[in-house]
Amino acid sequence: MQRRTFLGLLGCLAAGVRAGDGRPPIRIGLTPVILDDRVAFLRRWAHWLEARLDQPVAFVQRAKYQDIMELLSSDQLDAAWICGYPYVRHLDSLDLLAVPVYQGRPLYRSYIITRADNQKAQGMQDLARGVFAFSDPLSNSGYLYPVYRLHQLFPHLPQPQRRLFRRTFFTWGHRHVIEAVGVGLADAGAVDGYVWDQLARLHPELTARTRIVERSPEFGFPPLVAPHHLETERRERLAEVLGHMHEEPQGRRLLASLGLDRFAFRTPSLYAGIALMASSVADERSQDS
Amino acid sequence: MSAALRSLRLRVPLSLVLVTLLTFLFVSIAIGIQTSINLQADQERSLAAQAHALAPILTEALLHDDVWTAYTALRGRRSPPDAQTPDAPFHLVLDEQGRIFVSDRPGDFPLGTPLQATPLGRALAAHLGGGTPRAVSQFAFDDRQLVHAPLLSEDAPVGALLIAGPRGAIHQRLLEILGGGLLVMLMLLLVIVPLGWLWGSRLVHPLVQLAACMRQVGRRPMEALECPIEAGRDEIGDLARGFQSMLAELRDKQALERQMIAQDRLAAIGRIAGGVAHEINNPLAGMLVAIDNYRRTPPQRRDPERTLALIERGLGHIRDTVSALLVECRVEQRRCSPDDIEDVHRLILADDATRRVRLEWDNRLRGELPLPATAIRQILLNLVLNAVQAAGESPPGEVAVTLERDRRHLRMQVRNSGEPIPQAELERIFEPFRSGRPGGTGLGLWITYQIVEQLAGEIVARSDEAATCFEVSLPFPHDAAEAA
Repeated sequence: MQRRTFLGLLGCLAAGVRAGDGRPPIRIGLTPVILDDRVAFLRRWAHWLEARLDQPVAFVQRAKYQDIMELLSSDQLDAAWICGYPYVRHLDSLDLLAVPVYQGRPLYRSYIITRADNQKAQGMQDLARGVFAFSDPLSNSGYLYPVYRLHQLFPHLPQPQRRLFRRTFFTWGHRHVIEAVGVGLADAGAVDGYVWDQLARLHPELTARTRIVERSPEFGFPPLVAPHHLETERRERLAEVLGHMHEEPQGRRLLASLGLDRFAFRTPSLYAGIALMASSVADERSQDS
Repeated sequence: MSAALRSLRLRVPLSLVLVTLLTFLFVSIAIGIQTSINLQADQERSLAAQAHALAPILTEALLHDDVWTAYTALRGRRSPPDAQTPDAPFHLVLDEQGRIFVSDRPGDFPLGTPLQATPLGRALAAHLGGGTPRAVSQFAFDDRQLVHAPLLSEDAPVGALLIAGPRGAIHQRLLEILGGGLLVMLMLLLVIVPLGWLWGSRLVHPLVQLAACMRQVGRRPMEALECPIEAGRDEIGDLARGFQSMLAELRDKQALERQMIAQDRLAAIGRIAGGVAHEINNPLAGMLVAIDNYRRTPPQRRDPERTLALIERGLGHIRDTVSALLVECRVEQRRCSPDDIEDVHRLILADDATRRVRLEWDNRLRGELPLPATAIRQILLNLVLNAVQAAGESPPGEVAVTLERDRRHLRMQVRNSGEPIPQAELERIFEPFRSGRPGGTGLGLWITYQIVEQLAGEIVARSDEAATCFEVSLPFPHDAAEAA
């Protein structure tokens, strides 16, 4: 046998074995529930997943939660890391893949923040007549919780989030809320507590310009979900890989980079609190209209 | 101006340096003005371009009420902690009602507040004049250049973008550019100024040498003058060479003059000796003839008295001649009074010759003069009689006498309208035995000259077609002048 032919065959074999060659990639949607602008980290994570899944992995990023939700419902994503609020709204079409465990528990909080030099505000009730920044209308910590909280504080005021503040706006990202409050564009804002903590670790100069005036009760951590229609085998494989991520050094390094302990499997009941708030606010809304 | 600055040695290099400095100054000013114009235009263009680039995304953000997108567009690539200095540029987006939709300086321009209440809002209102323009326009406010760009959706205004350029940016930039330019110029000047100085000094050096040489002329003997001048082939070189050859000619001329003076002196001595010999020879001849006659005459017919008288007259003549040659001002105490001058006037008027001329007698002297009376009388009489004689020969003759004094001198001027004296004659006029007239002794002016000399005065004779003039100036003795 000619040596050249042998080498050629070997090359063909190697190419065939290479992960992801010709096969459609697993598309995972990301929302700003994590610091999603860390491109180098995402590449490392994608490589790690590709090696485990034996399949190409593509992270899909969109500015708004809504965009990711639409991609999910239109079958363009195999999985997505979304907030608890849109999850409870689409419970019937989404399966929980994995829930991040943060500081030992699969829970996180919402922070109400204001500028660091605003020493007067002690709680949300002190923020009236200011400019308030929400992160995304589909964010639990960045929209649902603060609205719910305002309803609690001002039970007789319909739509308090629109009447209490001089102006409100969405920044489409927790990090942007922190920036908007930091530069004084907004007087206060609501932000994912986990993102604030991570940003405080990575960019302390940004969080140093803000001050937390209120911490919410704990809610289920934004989960990784998959649409119902994803093949069971793929879904289980993905859940298994994520669930065992913390068992190997490289996976642990990636998790540490995210500031998480591990991924765990949990039942949807973890998000009952969010569901309650969502229905309460929705009732309010239907009463108004 | 100090003496040093009057010298070309300093002035030429200084002028070169000054011209260099002035040139640099004017160039700097011209560059400054042009740069400032260019900077203004650049800033206007840059702000307008920025407004055009931002307008579409801001319009959309306004329509979608998307504050954050608008903010990120305004903020550009700057990260939020980027501290805003008070002079930095800033952006404002106004909604349709003129409220602040967003700004990249939210501390100064809070969201949702009306801009009209601020000084900037009032400046904007004044600029727009109540209209809603469709085009980008610019105005200045608070040392800033501002751009107002209406945000249009299908030609309908939905808001406006206001970009404020950095405060004092043009001045600062101009200072930076000029500072850099000045530094380069200073460095150039550091080279050019010493070069200019050196060149100027080199240029002037031969002139300075020449001037130094020329100053020596007249102060030092010609032979001692050394003038080595380093000069090129230019005009200054020509000048230096010309001067060198002039010096050489002057030296030759001086030598020639000395030779001539020596010859003149010998000639004058010869003439005087001849004159004296002649004057003495005549009576001597007479006396010898008288002695010879005496011897030839038989003793009984001899007349010793007559012969002796003849010899005595001859000897007297000789004595007179010799004593006239040895003019001496006898020291006399009597000072010259106005009467002395009037005596002379009367004597002249009494002379027959005076009747043929018109005499103008201008005596401005008052009181006594500290000069010997006899000497003055003699001088004046001699000069006036000569003048009357000269004027009388060519009627109608005129003689003008002027006498005046100042603190230190007596001045006499005697003019006559007689025939002019030729120059050659004039030069020897004070020599003895040179009578211009038949019958004259030729000693009048000689005696006058001697008296004037002994009184330390000056006598000058001038003659031209109009008049012949003798001027005498006699200084008063030192103590007398002080007393006067």
